[in-house]
Amino acid sequence: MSLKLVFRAFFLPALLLAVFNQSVYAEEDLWVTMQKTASAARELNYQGLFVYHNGATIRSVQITHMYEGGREFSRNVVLDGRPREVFSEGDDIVIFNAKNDKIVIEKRRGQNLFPAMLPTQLYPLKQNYKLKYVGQERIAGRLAQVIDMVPNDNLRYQYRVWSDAEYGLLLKMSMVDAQGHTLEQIGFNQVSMLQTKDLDWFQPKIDATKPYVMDDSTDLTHIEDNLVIANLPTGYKKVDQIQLKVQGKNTTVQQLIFSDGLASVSLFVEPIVKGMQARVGKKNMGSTNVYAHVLNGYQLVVVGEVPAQTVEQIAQQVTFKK
Amino acid sequence: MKQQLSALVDGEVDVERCEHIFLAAKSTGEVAQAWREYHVIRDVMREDYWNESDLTSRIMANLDDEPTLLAPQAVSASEKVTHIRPRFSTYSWSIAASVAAAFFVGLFVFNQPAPNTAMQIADKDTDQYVVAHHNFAPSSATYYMQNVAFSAGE
Repeated sequence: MSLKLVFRAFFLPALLLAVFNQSVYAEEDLWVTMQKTASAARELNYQGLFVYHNGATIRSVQITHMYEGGREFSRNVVLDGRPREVFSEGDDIVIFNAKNDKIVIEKRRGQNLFPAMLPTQLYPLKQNYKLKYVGQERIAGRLAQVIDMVPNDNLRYQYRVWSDAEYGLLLKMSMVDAQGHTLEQIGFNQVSMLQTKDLDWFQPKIDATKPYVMDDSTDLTHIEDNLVIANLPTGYKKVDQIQLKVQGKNTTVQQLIFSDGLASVSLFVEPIVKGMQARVGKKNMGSTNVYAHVLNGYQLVVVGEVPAQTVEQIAQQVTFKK
Repeated sequence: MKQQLSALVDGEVDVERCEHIFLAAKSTGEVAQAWREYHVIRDVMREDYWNESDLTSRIMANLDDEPTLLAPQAVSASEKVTHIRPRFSTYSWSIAASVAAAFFVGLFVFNQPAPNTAMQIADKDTDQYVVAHHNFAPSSATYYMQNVAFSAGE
């Protein structure tokens, strides 16, 4: 047997197998890094300044985050434009929104705020995205591992994740469309770990002279009705359903929220009443796509940070149970 | 602020809507003091027998712990808390509607199919929906943007 034959018979398959194995392990390793990234944002104590870019909009936000006694506290102060402070304690989010003569309080629930943008349960993401190692980059003075989340289909955008090489904290994240255009990005300009366990910072700048008013336009109770969406786009699941009150109307607007683990889409359903102009058609605003549709006397509007075909597919699949 | 605290103590405000008061109570000594005082006043008025120091420590422990456990059961929304105009306003709809009314009167009847009469979406038609999406979808960085959502309360 010549050396060449030996190479072909034994070494080549072994070599190919080794390469194949390496790529399999590499993706598993990358998921481990992603898991670390998802946890780090919630379990570390840090302080920093991050910037959010979307089209022409740029916002700087100062964040302080602490994990203490199994509970998560964060304070986000929006530094550009009108003063806003976003507080979260676990899943509860309260926003202090300064107006001319009053402070409007808005209430939210369970949102993935930067840098905690990745869900802690990665299983849905594994179904819909493949990971690809890009390399290393410096972000906000820290060394980051750069990983691409490549979608399996054209029903979601691609994301790039910069994860701190040492702590695993998400330093930056961007959203890219199929043509390679960056639609949205959010990342730290400056970040540092906090050594203190003091919670003194967890308080809004109370202005005792101004009245505090609640924004109570949303009923956050879960509701069920006769809506059926036969075939949701692959990988998307309904995660919530709420109703919005509309002043001067007897009817409410239903908002159904779908997610593939990262991207989210809302479906609004509203009865078309006398005097209301029904709308159809589609619209694109940066990363956000909108699709309006009319069905059985209902206005349907689908909105999401997903490609146009995804919002369209959801709108087309809605039916009402008899 | 003090008025709202008072309303909360009296059980006139929905507890669900009071995180801001708890946050505020946690953060300022003045408000925390007011909070204690209102409880004392209420208890005296109701002739409950509560030792003040016991009450204080219990309230503060609850404040540190789980705020929703502490307050009295919700009764109804109080007049003392100002309710603002819902963000999902009908205002912009009504302009569009009044313009369109001349042409489309009677066409949009509740639950009647109207497939051929709907108009193509124009510039700002769907802003309210986009804002509501950004406010309540679980993963949205657009949280930090200021847009029509924040006209609420003006």
